[in-house]
This record gives sequence, structure tokens and C-alpha cells, in this order.
Amino acid sequence: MAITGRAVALAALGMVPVLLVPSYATVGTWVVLWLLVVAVDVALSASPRDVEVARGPIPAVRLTEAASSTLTLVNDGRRRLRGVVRDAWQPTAGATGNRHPLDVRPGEARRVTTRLRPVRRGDLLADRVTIRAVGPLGVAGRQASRPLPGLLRVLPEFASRRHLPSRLARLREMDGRSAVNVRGPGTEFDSLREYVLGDDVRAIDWRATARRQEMVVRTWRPERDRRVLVVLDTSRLSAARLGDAPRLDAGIEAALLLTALATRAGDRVELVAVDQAVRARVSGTHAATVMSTMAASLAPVHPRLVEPSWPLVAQLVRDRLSQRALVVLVTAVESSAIDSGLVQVAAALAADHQVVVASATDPENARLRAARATSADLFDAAAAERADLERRGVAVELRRVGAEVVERLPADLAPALADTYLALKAAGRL
Amino acid sequence: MTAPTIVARGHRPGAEPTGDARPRRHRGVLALALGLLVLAVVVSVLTARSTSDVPLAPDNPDPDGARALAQVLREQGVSVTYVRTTAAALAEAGAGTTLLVLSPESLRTEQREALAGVAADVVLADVGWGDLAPLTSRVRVDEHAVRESRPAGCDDPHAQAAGEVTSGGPVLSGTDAVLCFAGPEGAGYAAWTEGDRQWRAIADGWVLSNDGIATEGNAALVLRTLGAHDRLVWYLPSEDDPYGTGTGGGTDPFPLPGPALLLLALVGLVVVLWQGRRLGPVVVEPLPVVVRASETTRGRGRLYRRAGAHAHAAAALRAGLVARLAGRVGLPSHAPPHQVVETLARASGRSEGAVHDVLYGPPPTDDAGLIALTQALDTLDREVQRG
Repeated sequence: MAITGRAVALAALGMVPVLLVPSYATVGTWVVLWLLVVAVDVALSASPRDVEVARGPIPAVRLTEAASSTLTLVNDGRRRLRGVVRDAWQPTAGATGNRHPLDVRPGEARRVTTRLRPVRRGDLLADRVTIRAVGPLGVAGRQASRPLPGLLRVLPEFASRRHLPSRLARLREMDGRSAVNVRGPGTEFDSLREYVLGDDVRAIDWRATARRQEMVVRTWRPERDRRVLVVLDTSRLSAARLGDAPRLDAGIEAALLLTALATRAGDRVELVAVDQAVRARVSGTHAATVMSTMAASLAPVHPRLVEPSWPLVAQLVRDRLSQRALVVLVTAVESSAIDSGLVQVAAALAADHQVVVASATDPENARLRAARATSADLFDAAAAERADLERRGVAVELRRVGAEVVERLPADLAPALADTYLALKAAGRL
Repeated sequence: MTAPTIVARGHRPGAEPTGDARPRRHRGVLALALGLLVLAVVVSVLTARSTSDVPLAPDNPDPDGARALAQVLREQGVSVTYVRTTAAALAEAGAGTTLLVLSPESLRTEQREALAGVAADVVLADVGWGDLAPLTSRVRVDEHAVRESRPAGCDDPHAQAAGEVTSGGPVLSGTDAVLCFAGPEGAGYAAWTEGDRQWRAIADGWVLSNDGIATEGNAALVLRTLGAHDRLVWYLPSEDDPYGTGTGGGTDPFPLPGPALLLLALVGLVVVLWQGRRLGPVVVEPLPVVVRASETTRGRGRLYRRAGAHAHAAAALRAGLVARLAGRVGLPSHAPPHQVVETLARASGRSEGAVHDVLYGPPPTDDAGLIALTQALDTLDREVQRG
């Protein structure tokens, strides 16, 4: 049961008879008449329960992209359905224009489309579909809500993909396809080809040249088929908000860029998101599909307010990797990392693997450290300075046990991690 | 919002589903609204109540009303004009009419003054406690008496015609008037002349009421008194009469009649019902936990401040600067103080003593000391960067 603006207008129209005959009996008469009209209109309206509603499939989208949710309504009743339908979603799904006018004759069907502009990564759920059917007078009607499942998977934005072309160019420089054909660490023999002007004379393979009539050079390419394991920490510290996004989002961006780069470089990338338990795992995926698989499995991963379980991480790495590999721990370098066991685990892993610890830093810390406006600011600056010192101490400790440490602002973490990967690859340390 | 599109079977290919039905529907709604209006007016006119429940009003049929008196007077050919304001009473009460003033003690001084000079014969009734000046100073009410039957006991013709009258409540006293139906406390009726005008007072309003008029000679007294002329102005003072207050009628905060106000309130209620009904429930959503990373730092800063840990804060600021500058000038991370002072003095171009004072001097103990130290550290930072 619901009334419309017309019902209000009709009630207000009663002012005319009341002013003509100003008595309480007139008011009573008008109220009774109004109720009668409303009751008749409700009785004559179509039943919203006689409408069949179905939801079309919704493909996954990246954050910042728009999606659309489609409802198909079939009027199974005997009355013409006039009114409005609302396709309700979680607020962060951004379904702003989700009310649609309806006019469906018996037996007909309509399709209505709601634009979704998600503002949050993850699995966003549809709530209820509400149909309000008004009567032939448009004064009042009936209303019913029913749950209609719907899911919009919002993938991570992967804004760091704009850094990919420049890093791929660097990778090609290291690769044999470019003019670089000098043997160095981290390369393996690729092929022999004819000498062209500009090739390094040191690359000439004299033995092969002697067998043929033309000059032949050896080409080299970076080592391929190395294994990369990205460990994404989704524990307490990943929930901290840096700027506008949680620390985890910066880590996901970095993991995605590293995966895209390493896959093109011919390495095999695996990922595990972990706090007290494994929250997501991507492994053994074919290179062509690893990006979409990883985006889809990282979409519903959210920070949890629990301590990280570094022994579990050590166990996972031991289980997954038998030969030397690159292990990237995407976490937070903080003073509490000593207590939680990050340094010990990094030390243990560094014995068998190349370990990189990537951490997004808080842009607010630099602002706090430079604040000088009041004496309270000075204490904040001292606290920020102390936090930086502790962080630096942890980083020194991590480097001492043999891990690489990448500490950057959230926006710079992904390219910095990619650069570290390229540097390690160029140095043959994978 | 997207316009709905037809996707499934319709009725006829040529049939326009909505276009032509709309204007007819609007006409129907309009006709219905007009019909309702007419119906409401007719029903209201038919059922409108022509009576009131104001005590001693000529249209009140209740025991405390006075419709019986008014009806009898009308049957006797007296035209009864019912007024509620002083202005209307003055306008109606010309010479050759009777002006009945009920509850005269409730009038304000301005109203009494105006009524005292009226050209009509005046009957005061239902007189309450107290003085009546400046309306009249002939009678006043000082006592109460029990309601009982009393003989006329005077030479007023109306009183003598009535014989015995039952009245009580407030009783009149005074010296310049003929007092009738008197008991030991005072009289129930008084009559006197002001110039050429007859003034009369009936102390007990119950005598006029539907309940009391039929008792003994009450009817005779009242009918004779009020029916002396063929025009009677029935003035029942209303509390919100603005006469004499100088503000006119503009003081009424609600110029609309009561029923219209009630309807307005009901329309307001309908608006609430209209806007209060949501199109489906509010959707709730569990949002991820997001804590500002700088909160812990700020919290620690506040702890320093509350504890007055100036020395502690200074140590942190100094150590932080040394750690940052050490990377820039190539010092090992665990260099001893004298090496730090020596290197930074060289880099900044300051004396070793000055640098030592800034970095390793006595810790500050108050805000001023901390501010001075911070400024010195910032200066050193800039100098090393420049050098």
C-alpha cells in the first residue's frame, strides 16, 4: 500500500468545500471520500506479486568502469501494471538511477536497465526488487519487494598497467630481439644469426662463422621459466588507509603489474593471499589467462583485523617451491613486523630463494614530520620521526638477512617493484 | 534512468500501448475530483449543525443554553440578533432596541465604557463577582446566595408581574436602583433609569437558561424584560474580541477557521504518509575495515604531549635528522657522535661546537625549548642540503 502525490493533491482540494462550509462535518466528509477513492484505487491496481522478474547476467568489470543490470518483468496478472520498479543494490555498487517507470499490459514484458558505477572492489550484491503498482486513478497503489539475487564482481582497477609498456621495453632491451646480444649474468643462449652492422663484435661466434660463409653472432636472452611467488599479506596492517585506499589495494596493484611483466618475460607467477589462513591462491595457470584469473581471485579479497601468520607463509613457500625462485612478500614494513616474525621468515626464505619485501608507506607521515605550526605539531613530528626510525631499523634488519626491501608511496610501489624485478632479472639473481 | 523497451509479445502490432489512454485518464481524474468537491459541499450543507454549545447562546439547545428563550421571543415577534463582539453590539443596538449583555464583568474597561453610552435599553444578565464600573456604578456583586424562590418585594412592573422568581448565585447590591427578589445577602434583580434609558440587571444567568426558564415566574420576568422592544440584540462577549486593544483583527494568529486548520493538519499527515513510504527497504552493506595509518602516529604524538615528554620528542627529532643526513653525506648507520658532528660540521660549514650543541646538547624541558631546537634542526638540515 502506498499513496502518490495525487492523493496529497486530492486531500488538499478539500480546502475548497471546507472554506465554503467551514464545519468539522465537511472535514469528516472529505476524509471519508478521500479514503474511499484511495481504497478503490488500491483495489483496482495490478498486483505486484503477479509480476515475474528475472535478472540478466552481469559481466565482471574493473573498478572505475560502468556495468549495467538488466531486469525483465513479465506481467502475469489480469490488470495493466502501471507504476515504478526499483532495482536495489549495495550503495557502493553506485546504482543511482535505479527507478524505472512501468506500463505493462497483461501478458507483456518489459526490460529495464540500471547503470552501475561501482566505487569499491569486491563482490557487490543486489538487494531487492521493489514494484509499486498504482491504480487507474494514479492516487494509490500496492507495493511489494522481493529478493532477486544478483552479483557484480568488481575487479581491481589495475591502474598501474600504464607502467607496463615502459617496463616491457626495458625487458625487450634485455631480450635477444633487441640489439643487446652481450652475454652477461642472467642470460642464456638463445640462437645464432647473421651479423648485422652495429652488433657487438664480441658476440661473434667464431666457430660457427668458420663453418659458414657469413659472419654469425650468438644472441642471448634473459633466463626464462623462472618462478615467481607473490605473497599478499591481507592481515591487520593491510587495512591501514594510505591516502584514500587501504594498503592492500597498493599491494594488489603491485602484484598485478609484476604478474603482467613476469608473464611476458616468460616466468611463471603464482600468488597467495594470506593472513591467518589462505584467502586466495592462483597457481598453475596458463600464461594467457593468468591475469584475468588473478584479477578475479583478488577481487573479493579484503583486509582482516588479524595478525599475519608468517610461519604459515614459510610453510606455503616450502610446499610450493622446490627450486630457487623469487618470493615477493607484499606486506607492511613496521616496527611490529619484528614481533610478528616477518624478519625471521624472510631470513629463512632468503637462504633458498631471492626474497623481496614490498611495502607501501604512508604519504601522511612526511606531512606530519614536516608540520611545524603549533607545539602539538612538534610532538606529532617527533612521533612521525620515531616511526620512520623504527621502520628504517626493520628495513635494515631485512636487508641484513638478505632480502630486498622496496618501500614506496602507494602510487609508486607497483613500478618500483617492477623495476626491482627487472634489476634482479638483469643481474641473474632469479 | 533508461526508458523501458518492449521485448516480448504485445497485443496488436499497430496498437499504441500508452499514448491515447493518457488524456482520457486525466479527464477522468479531473471529473472525479470535481464530483467529489460537489458531493462534499452538498453533504456538508445538509449535515451542517446549526446549533452551538456555548452557554446561554440563543442557538444552544442544551440545558445551559438559551434557545428556548430565543424561540419564544421570536414567536412573540421580537427579532433576536446574536452578536459576539462589542463592535457588532454597538452597531446593532440603536434607540428602540433592547441590548442583552451577558457576563458583563468579563468585559474590559474599553468595552464597558463603549457600552455605557449605548442608546438602547440595557439588560445585564449572568452577572459575575465584582465591580461593573464604568458600565454602571448603580449595582455591584459582593455576595452569593443559595438558589431559592423569592417574592418580588418591590414596585418594578416586570418583577411584580413575575410574582415569585427562583434565582441564586451572585446577588446584586446597590443604593441607586430598585432591588427586587431580595434576600439578606442581596437582590436577584435590579432596575434603574439612565437618562431616558431603562437599565435592568438579572444576576443569575440560570434564569435565562433552557433549564431554569420554566421555573415559577422566571419566564415572565425574562420575557417581559427582554421583550420590551421588538428588536433584541443578544450580546454574548467573546474572549478574543479585539475591541479597544488598538490592534484591530490582525492579532488572530490563525486567520483560518478551525475546520480548515484541521484539514491542513490532515493534508500534512498525508504528505508524511506519501513521503514516508519508501520504495523498498534501505540497503545496508558491510564496508571493509579501513583505519587511517597515521592514527597511530598521531596517537603517539599526543601521548608525548600529554606526558610532557619534551626530551623524548627532541631525541626522536634529532635521531631522525641524523639518520636522514647520514645517508646524504655518506655516514655509516652506526657512526659514533663525534664522527657525525665532524662530518656534518664540514658539510654545513658551521663550527663543530654549534653542531654538537644542536644534535647532542642538553634536551629541552618545555615547549619553547622544543620549538627552538626544531628550528635549529631545520636550519642545519637546509645548510647540509645546500653544502
